Amino acid sequence: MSRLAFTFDPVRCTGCEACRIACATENRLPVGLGWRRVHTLNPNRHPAVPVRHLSMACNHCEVPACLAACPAAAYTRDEATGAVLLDQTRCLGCGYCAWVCPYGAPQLDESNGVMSKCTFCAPRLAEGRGPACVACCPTGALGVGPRAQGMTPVYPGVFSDGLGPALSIAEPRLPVPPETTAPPTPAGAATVAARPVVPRRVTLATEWPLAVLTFMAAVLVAVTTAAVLGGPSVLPWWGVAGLGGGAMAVSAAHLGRKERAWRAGRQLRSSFLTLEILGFSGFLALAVAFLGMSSRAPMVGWAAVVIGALTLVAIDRLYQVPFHRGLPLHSALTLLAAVFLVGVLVPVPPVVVAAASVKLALIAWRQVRRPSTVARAAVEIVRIGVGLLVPMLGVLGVISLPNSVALGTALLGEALDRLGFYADFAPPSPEGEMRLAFSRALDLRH
Amino acid sequence: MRRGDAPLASTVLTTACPRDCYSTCSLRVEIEDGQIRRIEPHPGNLATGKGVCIKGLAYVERSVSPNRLTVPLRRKDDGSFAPIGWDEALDQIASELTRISREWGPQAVLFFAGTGTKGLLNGVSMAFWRLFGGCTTTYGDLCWPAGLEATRLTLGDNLHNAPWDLANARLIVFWGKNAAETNVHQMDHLALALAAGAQVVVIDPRRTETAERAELLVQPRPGTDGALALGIAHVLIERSWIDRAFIAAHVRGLEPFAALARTWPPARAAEVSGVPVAVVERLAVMLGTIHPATIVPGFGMQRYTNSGQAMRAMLALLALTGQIGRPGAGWMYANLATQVFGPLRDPLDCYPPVAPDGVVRVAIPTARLGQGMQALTDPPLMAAWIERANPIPQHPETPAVVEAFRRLEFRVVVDELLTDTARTADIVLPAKNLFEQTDVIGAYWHPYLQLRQKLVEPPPHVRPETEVYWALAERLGFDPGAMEAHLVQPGGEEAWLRRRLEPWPEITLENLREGPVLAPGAAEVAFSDLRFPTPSGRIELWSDEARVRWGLDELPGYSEPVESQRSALAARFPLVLLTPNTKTRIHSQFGCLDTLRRMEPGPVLSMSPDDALVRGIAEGDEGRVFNDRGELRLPVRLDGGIRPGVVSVPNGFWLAEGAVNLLSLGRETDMGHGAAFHENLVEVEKAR
Repeated sequence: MSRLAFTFDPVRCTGCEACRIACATENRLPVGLGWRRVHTLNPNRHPAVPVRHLSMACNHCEVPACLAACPAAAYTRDEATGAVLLDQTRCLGCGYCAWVCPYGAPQLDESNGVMSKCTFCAPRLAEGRGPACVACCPTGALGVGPRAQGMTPVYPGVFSDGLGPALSIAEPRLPVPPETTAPPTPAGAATVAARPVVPRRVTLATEWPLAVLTFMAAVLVAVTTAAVLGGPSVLPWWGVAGLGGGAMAVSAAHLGRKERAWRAGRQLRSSFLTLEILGFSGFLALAVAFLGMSSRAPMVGWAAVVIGALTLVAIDRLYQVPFHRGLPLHSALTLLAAVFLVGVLVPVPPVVVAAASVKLALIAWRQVRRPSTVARAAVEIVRIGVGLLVPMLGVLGVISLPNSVALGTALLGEALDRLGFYADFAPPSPEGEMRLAFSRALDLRH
Repeated sequence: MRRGDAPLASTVLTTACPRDCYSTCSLRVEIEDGQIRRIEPHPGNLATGKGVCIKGLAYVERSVSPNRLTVPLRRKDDGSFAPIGWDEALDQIASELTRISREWGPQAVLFFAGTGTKGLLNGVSMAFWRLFGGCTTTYGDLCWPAGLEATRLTLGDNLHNAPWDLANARLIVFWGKNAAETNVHQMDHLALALAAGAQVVVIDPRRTETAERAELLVQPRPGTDGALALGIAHVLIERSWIDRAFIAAHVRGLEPFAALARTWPPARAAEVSGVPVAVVERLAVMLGTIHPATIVPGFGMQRYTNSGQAMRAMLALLALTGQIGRPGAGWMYANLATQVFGPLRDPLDCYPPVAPDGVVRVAIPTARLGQGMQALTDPPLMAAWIERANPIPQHPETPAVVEAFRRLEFRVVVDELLTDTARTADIVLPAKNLFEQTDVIGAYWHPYLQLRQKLVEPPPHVRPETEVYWALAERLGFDPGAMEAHLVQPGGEEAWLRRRLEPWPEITLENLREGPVLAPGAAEVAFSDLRFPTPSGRIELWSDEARVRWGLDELPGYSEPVESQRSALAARFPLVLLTPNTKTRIHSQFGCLDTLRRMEPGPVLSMSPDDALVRGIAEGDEGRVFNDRGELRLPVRLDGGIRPGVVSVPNGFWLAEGAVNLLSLGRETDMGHGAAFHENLVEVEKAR
């Protein structure tokens, strides 16, 4: 059997979702889990845009993002069929694979706390039967065929390169919509030109444990670095241990299978999540050792700083999921936050000014690209005023400020910024890409 | 799965879906542990072999749905239902029927069966009522008889080419049909035609899913299809794009029809239908020059008081251009090739009998069920037995139907669910589902006879109707010989079916168990011998029977619908309400299943953004859609593809969700005794 790919014919697809239901029945999926989903372009029938559908499950990519990113190394490839398979007995339920997959393939199964996704119906393939979705499609839109090298589908909702999805799409160009004899007026058409609301996959409500962990990582690295540089020791070793350990424990609350948290260190070669966990653990050990020793050995301290910095780099890289349109530069990058805090702590005025300037520039850029709501803008103003300007002016001596207040306001500002990061972090999705395709088809600015 | 039992080997068996649906698919069903595990298509059905629609797939859930009734129920005084045993239920039914029959005569009982499920065994029901001494029943049909009659008057019979022949067409006109949602298997054949270079036109006030495959979407004012057809005919005749040799040999009435068409220049057709003159002409160019041409009319567009005549005019376009009786051409409305078991085919089968035998009083027009029931005297209706139907939300004028049922003394409803109709019953009997009794079914699109096999045992207290009738017949003391001859005893289905299949030795239960079997006499190309069973033996553009039977013009002239957007009523209610079907339901069936509910949780009012704009309504607002007959409050969805002046709410939702027949009026179509649902003027305002 040669490696397989899904084939999809948009001319035949009516968006009926028989594929979704056949898959759910075949795999006994609970309500709420949809391994295969159907996305629709232009459901409100704007006259200038065709109505087209896209049925996707998992694209069993040539370069699967999930496999590389999974900290527990729970994904493998079946060489015979080319299917990318998830071993649910190894999965932690951390959800990172769901972030890095732009097709929305891995989903959390709430009933057992692990991820799940399309298996290419491996048991049926072994019997020579074809996947359930293909077997049941009433219009013949879905099929399975040999995987071709360099297959890069271009179609609304599909990201066209990088991961090598095993998906071939016939007639991918959007056709001209039918000529109609009773179109709406331009004013009427404008009301169905609104870009559809794309549901957020990531919200602060779901990700707050990660906000805590990443914020604490930046703070602890900064505190330790400041101590290594000869600045004040703001926290004793047990403070670092407690806060760091506590942050890691809190972040474990994010996992579907908390008891498997220890498995997160398995994918050293390719998973920034593994690097984050191992790095942060290593940093904490070194920092506690350094701060706890009566004679603070500089080598231990610098080792902590280096490992800590690399950890923050890993954290920032972790969030740069494929095809994300907002990153990579954000004012709440943990490395940038740590540099700013070191500047405030030691203090090092030029560092404070430089870091604050970079942050201000990134905040301004963010506002220009995507103006925020009134509530968010108010938070940003507080964050800038309290969190950047006050400590900066204090460190520069422009205003007279106890160090604790400068530090406190800086921490408040960093915390607000880090929380805001999760409002800005938007892993891509087929729905988002459909929306973009709709806007493009309407020639709107996106 | 029964816990603790070793799993039974899984078996794959053939069956077919008996719903009132074009596709009527052949299915391969996998049973595991006495339950339905998988449903896949049967490749032996060339019309439906590609796949299974979402409703067919949802049978897996439907077969174990917790909403399913599994025991007889009796309604208590407070309106709630209590489970009772079969003996108790049948005793009460027998006692009530006897009492009412004694006091008023058997015709005081209404027996009403809808089209909820197909099968030859359905005929046993009426056999029971005849043995009972008679009953009252309806004539006509909610669904399609205007078009059936129009076709019968013109061609002599309702037959069309095999569904897969559509791939041979080079022009396909979907006229009021949304195959993508209501006959999804047709889309495979359409795709083949498109790949071979066919051109596709959709004529529909809405930009449906089907329309996305068309190069042209023509959106006439609802109910004006006849005018549009006559305008096209005018151009065809004027430009001589007609097949004179074909007409000379096989068509009756060209001269008078041409005279009629001459009075319909494109400008007049455009003024009436709202289709631009250039498009009327373009349609004529296409129908006149691109061959073979197939017109695929839907059922929705024939639910008006003028649509029988409209369909005759549309069909005339194919007669004029010689597009009947050849591959890739024709009128794909209904193919009754499988109706071989009775003396009459539809629509004649559903008309009032020519010579009533006095046993069954066929007296109520289906389109006016509520009024018809209430109007009967001598005897008035005292009781009703309803099976395979849900008339309260599905028939026009829901309040009249509700009132008619309320006036009865005793009601029995047989159904899988506690529907709106079942809720009015005194006794509800739990119905079998499609997997629980063997039967033979036909179809009306493809030419296959199919076996709907018994695959699983029904739940312990569910009995198929034939068994219920047998038990009731015993209680009522019917003559055992008559019971043997006309009813089916428990376990006697196969013997009964074999007797019905006797005239065709090539069609056996064994053959049918393997897969679908072509009906005897079914042809790949209908009317290929160009012999038409009409009075003249020709295609009749001029029909005397139209005058004699229906009081209509011999020619398919155009008249405005009774409730038209040009009538006085439109000053108060300027919008036409269409109530189409969607892919997630078959009328009022399937709506309670989770897997389909999430796709369409409730009825939505679709309207043009222009109509919404002047009414201050935005997407997602609650809209009040109303007329003199009733109102509904529904979320509004802006649809950039629906013709301004037209709004749409899907039918089939129950009273608690939003039943569209609160707004409709019971009117018959101009021919066929159909129901003119879509003649329905409303206004919409933002709900406060």
